[in-house]
Amino acid sequence: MAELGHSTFPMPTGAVSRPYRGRQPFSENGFWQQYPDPGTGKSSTLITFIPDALATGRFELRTDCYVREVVVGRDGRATGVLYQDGAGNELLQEAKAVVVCGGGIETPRLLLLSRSAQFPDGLANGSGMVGRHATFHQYSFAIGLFDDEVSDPLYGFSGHYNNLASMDFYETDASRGHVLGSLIFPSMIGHPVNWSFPGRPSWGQASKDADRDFFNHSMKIGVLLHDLPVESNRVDLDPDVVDAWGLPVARITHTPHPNDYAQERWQVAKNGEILEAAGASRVIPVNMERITGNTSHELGTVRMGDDPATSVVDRWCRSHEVDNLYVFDASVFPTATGINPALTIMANSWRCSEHIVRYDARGWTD
Amino acid sequence: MGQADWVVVPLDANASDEPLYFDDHAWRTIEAATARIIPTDRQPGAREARAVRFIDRMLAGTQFVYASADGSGFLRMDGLEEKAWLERVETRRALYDDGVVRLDELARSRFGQPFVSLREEEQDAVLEELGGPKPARYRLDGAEAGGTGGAPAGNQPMDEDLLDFFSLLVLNTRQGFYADPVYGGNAGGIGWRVIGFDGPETLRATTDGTYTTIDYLIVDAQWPYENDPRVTRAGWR
Ligand SMILES: Cc1cc2nc3c(=O)[nH]c(=O)nc-3n(C[C@H](O)[C@H](O)[C@H](O)COP(=O)(O)OP(=O)(O)OC[C@H]3O[C@@H](n4cnc5c(N)ncnc54)[C@H](O)[C@@H]3O)c2cc1C
Repeated sequence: MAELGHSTFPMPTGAVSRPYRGRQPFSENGFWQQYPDPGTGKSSTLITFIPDALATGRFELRTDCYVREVVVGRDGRATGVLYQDGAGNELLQEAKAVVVCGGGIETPRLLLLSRSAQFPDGLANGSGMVGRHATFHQYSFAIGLFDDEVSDPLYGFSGHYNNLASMDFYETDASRGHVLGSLIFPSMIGHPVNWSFPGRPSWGQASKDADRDFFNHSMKIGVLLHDLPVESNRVDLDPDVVDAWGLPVARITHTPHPNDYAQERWQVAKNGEILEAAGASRVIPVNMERITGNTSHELGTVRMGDDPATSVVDRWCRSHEVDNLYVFDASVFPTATGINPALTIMANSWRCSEHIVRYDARGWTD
Repeated sequence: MGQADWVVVPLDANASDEPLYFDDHAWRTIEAATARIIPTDRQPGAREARAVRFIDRMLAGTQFVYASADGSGFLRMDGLEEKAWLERVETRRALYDDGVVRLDELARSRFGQPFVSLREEEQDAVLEELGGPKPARYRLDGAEAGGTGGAPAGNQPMDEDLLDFFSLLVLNTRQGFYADPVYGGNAGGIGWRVIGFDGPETLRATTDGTYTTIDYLIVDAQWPYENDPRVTRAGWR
């Protein structure tokens, strides 16, 4: 990258690298990427905030509970939630306030499921904005194949999934013909069962040869598409399909904005140039037509904003319509940001929780 | 019940090399087909890796779905979780049952014998009827149309539920070659060795911290890594 005039930085990783508060760094390998870490190295909520919260004695965690509705009283305020526990018992939990954190798909679904005479179109949905403006951070990439007669093995499986990133393409540059940009980052292509590339011979001797020749001679540079919020890209309730509890599943309707296509094409091509400069003998663009819906960042479906006509929650993530109903997850993002969202989701939750404790909770009575 | 509380049943997918789901004929037919999908050459292929056992255990029910993290057995599913998995298993059983019949029908009509009795080139010809022309050797400078293998899974598991028999067989053979040996295939890590993936000796080694890839890393390299001569020097290994 330096040779091409670009800057990079080490990708922040949610794991401890030295003993910290009783936690031990686990392993130098990225084996637990996408799986729960059996040790205490990876900073998942389960081994960070939840134990702290439990230790206060003021927090109770009820696992395997499935909330089907946020219930409201006659005054239009939330009074609690209806849920089923792991044993199948239907329970009502009363509450002074309800904070929904079901994620970018399940949160709008729960609000839409919470219909009542006062809220016929779903809770806090007078604006009709619940579920709209869904963004997904399509994860596209350029793959580089390296000739094993020329290049040494890359051994991409041996370290963490990614260590390096660049923000050089994040800001809008009008000369590229599109707005916005995203973080880019290199990684291996996948563990053996998931390793593949478009055009790979799928069976027979050619398939075995390709696996053998390129497994350790391949890598990719990814794009976390900074996709534009579009009102018609949405999550709503499926009219036909129900889940195992008999409730309508979430239905997702999505067409990328033309700027998404342009941004992604440009960046994937740029990533390919970087791979070529690094010595790849062949570059294979993997654009979104090829991997429709490759996403793990579901955002924006319960937008934050000052205007109740165009957003669902205010700047403190409290719903405009129900003053003791909050949403503290990725649903509140007004725009997608072209970077991984977890830290921002967490920081925002801290910010808004503090606001509840300082101000809103004062008005709550027993 | 959360997965952490699921009972671990001390089951071993590799306890025997006998079928649990397939009948003897189906077992031998699928084994032969996997051996054409990842053939044996100077190195072992799907037959030696016991990909057929992997597929059989997958079809046997829900008992071999979730290996316990330390490899001591499998998690016992129940309730809705198990019901949903069984639906999936039943769909796949139907695909495999019909698939074996279809392989034999094609084999008989073209070569007058059941699939297992055919020569390798004949078996390939039958598979080509199901999956299209057998892919040619991949060339770095060739046209991209070399094969139908798609993009990597990225951040998601591959959706296997919508595949037809041949595509499912190809994918499952691959999984039976490259998945952790605990699931019944990739015997002794054979598949991993073929491609140079230095995977863990046992699943336990991944949970007690003994699995290491440290030999592949430059432990004390300082940022920016690209300025470290050991990183930039071609052929450092
Ligand atoms: C494979 C993968 C890799 C990722 N890698 C990164 C990364 O490297 N960096 C990064 O920043 N981000 C990453 N992300 C994204 C990040 O994990 C998510 O954006 C983030 O966890 C979302 O937080 P959330 O609070 O919105 O929702 P979630 O973390 O999804 O939490 C929602 C919770 O609500 C529960 N729930 C939902 N509906 C109900 C209901 N009706 N009743 C009861 N409970 C319910 C769910 O079970 C879940 O526990 C990754 C995501 C995936 C899937």
